[in-house]
Amino acid sequence: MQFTFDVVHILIYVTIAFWLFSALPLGKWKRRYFFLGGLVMVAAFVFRWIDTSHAPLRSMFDVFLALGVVVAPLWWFCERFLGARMISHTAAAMVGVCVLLPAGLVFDAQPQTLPPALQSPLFVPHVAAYMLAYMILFLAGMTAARQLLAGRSDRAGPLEQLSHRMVCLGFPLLTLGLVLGAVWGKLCWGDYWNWDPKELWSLATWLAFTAYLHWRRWQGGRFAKTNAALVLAGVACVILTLLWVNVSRLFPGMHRYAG
Amino acid sequence: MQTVSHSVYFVNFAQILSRNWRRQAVYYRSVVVCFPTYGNVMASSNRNESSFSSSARPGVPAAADARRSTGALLLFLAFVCCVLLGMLSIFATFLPVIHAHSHSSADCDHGGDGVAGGFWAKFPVTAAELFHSPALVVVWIFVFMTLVASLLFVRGLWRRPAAVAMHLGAILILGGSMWSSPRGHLAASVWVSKLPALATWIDGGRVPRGVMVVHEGVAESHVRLRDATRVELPFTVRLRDFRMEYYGPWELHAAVPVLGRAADGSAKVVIEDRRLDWQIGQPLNLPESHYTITPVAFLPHARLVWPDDVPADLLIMGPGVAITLPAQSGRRASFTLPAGEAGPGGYVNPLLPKAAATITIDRLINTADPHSPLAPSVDAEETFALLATLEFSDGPTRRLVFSPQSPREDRGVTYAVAIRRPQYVADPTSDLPAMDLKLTSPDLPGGTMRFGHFLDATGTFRGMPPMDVPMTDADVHAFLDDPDAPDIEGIRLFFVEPPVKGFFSDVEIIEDGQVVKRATIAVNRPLHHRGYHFYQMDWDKERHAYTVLGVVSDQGLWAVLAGFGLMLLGVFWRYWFSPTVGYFRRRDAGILPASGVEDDLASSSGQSHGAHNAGETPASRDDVAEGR
Repeated sequence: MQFTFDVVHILIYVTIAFWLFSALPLGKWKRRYFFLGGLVMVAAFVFRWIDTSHAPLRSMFDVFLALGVVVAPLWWFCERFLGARMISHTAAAMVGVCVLLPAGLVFDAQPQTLPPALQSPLFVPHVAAYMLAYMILFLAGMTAARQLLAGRSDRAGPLEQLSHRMVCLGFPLLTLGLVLGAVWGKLCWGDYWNWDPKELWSLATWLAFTAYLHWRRWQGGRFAKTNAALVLAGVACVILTLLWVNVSRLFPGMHRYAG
Repeated sequence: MQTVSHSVYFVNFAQILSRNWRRQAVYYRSVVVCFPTYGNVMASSNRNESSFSSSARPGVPAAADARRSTGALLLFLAFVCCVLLGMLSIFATFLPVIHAHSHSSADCDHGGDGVAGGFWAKFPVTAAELFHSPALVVVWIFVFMTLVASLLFVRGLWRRPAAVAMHLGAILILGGSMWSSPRGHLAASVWVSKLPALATWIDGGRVPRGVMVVHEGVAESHVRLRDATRVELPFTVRLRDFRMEYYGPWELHAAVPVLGRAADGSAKVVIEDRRLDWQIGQPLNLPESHYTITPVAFLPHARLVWPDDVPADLLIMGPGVAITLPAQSGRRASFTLPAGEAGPGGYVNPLLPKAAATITIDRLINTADPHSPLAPSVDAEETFALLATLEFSDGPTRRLVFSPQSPREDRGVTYAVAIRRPQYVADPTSDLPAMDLKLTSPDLPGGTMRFGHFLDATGTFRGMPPMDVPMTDADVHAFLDDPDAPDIEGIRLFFVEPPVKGFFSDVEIIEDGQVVKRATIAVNRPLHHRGYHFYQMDWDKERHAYTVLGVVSDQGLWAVLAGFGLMLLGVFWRYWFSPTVGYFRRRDAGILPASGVEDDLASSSGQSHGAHNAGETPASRDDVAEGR
């Protein structure tokens, strides 16, 4: 864990500062700080793109940077169209900080060249779909956690609906990522499914949310806490897929580009 | 309250499992399920939609209830399938870890293989084996049947084309995967052998997954399968050329010894790898030294050749004798031995008569590989030897082996083998580079020397003797005698292959002696021909003379791809497109209210959230449901 002082890292630190500020009681500046941080993040991403001379979705650093970039736009979308304004953006800002801290302090930011396997028109859509889906699902999980904290008060119901809408927004992207990955695997390795640890974990993630959607279709909002627990189980799968399978040496596989 | 809710949860399961459908159905009719909605008022428009059927209206006759309970059962089964498969997937990722652990612990504790894991030994080792095992085949069929049943028996599903697309997509993906699996291939070949009429539709001799090694200029039609059996394709593949592309030029690196610390805190020498940014003509300082190197010339495609095709010279030296004999078989030289034969202690008896000697080089030997021809190699100091016949006018004829490492002394004459300095020539067919370097240092006598570098095919890097050196011979020899020459104060220079940008096989497909297709196979760019896909898998790392192609038949592929498309269509339609259309429809109809939501939940607890609280929260529905 160390501080690095190049342009991208400084922009990351600035964003973290903005997002931490946005949690303070600063009146209307709270929201402004949050979206200002989002803008700085976009600048960092664009700079990184120019710096690496390919879409920066290659290493773990790139992936966490991309997750940080999509926080603010996705939260804006949720506020505008999904009725997420009923809760504060603070939790989204905290998710963003959690995502940016490893990018800013832990992961190696050395730009890497694209090996032949990654030189595909499916590289950007596959990873981008997953980044968007993961971030939406993080936000959904956060909403579900808030719902659990709300207990049986009046807020629990709307929060449950909101987390369901977020899952419904993210699930097609999760499916898209999985299918694009399979098509890419077919083009690159000759198999659309290789039983690779990361594939299995992302399948488990997809199945967790599929289970949630079936369950909710079946039971509706009757067991609101169970719904929240299922969303959180799916989010746990997302976190493990993203972090543990990538970083741990327990699971050698074909997705080890992040190294 | 919480315990009550949980008991309901379990009773609910129990009711379903005890096939108490009717009671369930009555229960369900009262549950108005929140429909996934975008926008603040969507929930209100979906007020009447139940979980699995849009026909959930009060007063529906009992027959409809039964159907709806079938839907409930299938939703439950779908939930179970998802949880089961998800857990199996997660479990499967741990299989290699479990097996490695159980094996190592068995070795430690019991010292035998027989006990290895005991319980775990019965499990498959890899995730693929697990998911192809007979037990899992049962699970797959169960999942497949659940999907089919949901399409057949849930009428509510058929009212939503998007839902049909999703589930049909899943069926196609599962069915296609089964058909394209090794078992599916086996089934296809068995069926074709039993019923030859099927061969019109099914090609029974196809390859589930195989590998093909094709050498440059050679046509190949055999595919090796995983179980080492060979399958012949109905056409041949000829490799015209294999090419590699790199990111940027070859990197020049220096391994620099620096003072570091061992784990116990003591000082030790650590070799650090430093990359040198070089440019032709630009001097650059070698790290941690007084030396400067200047790249004089760089050949990206170079080949090593011997001067005059002769790898070495045999030097014959003695009193009155100084002959340099080029090492070519058949070469011969005659000389006169010094007066007398050297006796014990080097004493030469001057009274003995002088003898004449003739040496004939019989054969050049590559000691590393006696069967391969003697090629220019920077390893020649270690791998070169020559066999020669020595004839004396006064004694027996002898056959002797001479090598660079061991000069021979015989009857007062020294025989030594001196390897000639190979040269680099540009050769476009080579993928290996050479660099000519000038080394400058104030510490060197004369200030400068020059040497070349060559990266040989195995990727190891060797130094070459100096080329034009304004130094004394003693200095040069002192330099060369260093076993790790050209180390410069312990610094070793070497080339690093730049990251591979791509590798390409230019192939042509030949059928009945005719070239029917020409294509370049690269990673991410497979070739498809007559039901087979060819993938760039691997290549000859040393000489780039052959390529390794993966061969996979496309049996079942189109079903899977169609399933992917249908599933994506359904999912986006259902969760993105439908709500968006609904949103705009309601907005145009003027039903959409002004955004009445609060900035923060905390600041607005107890207030109404616009449409969100308009009697549509699940909690209020539950109240309605339980109030019945």
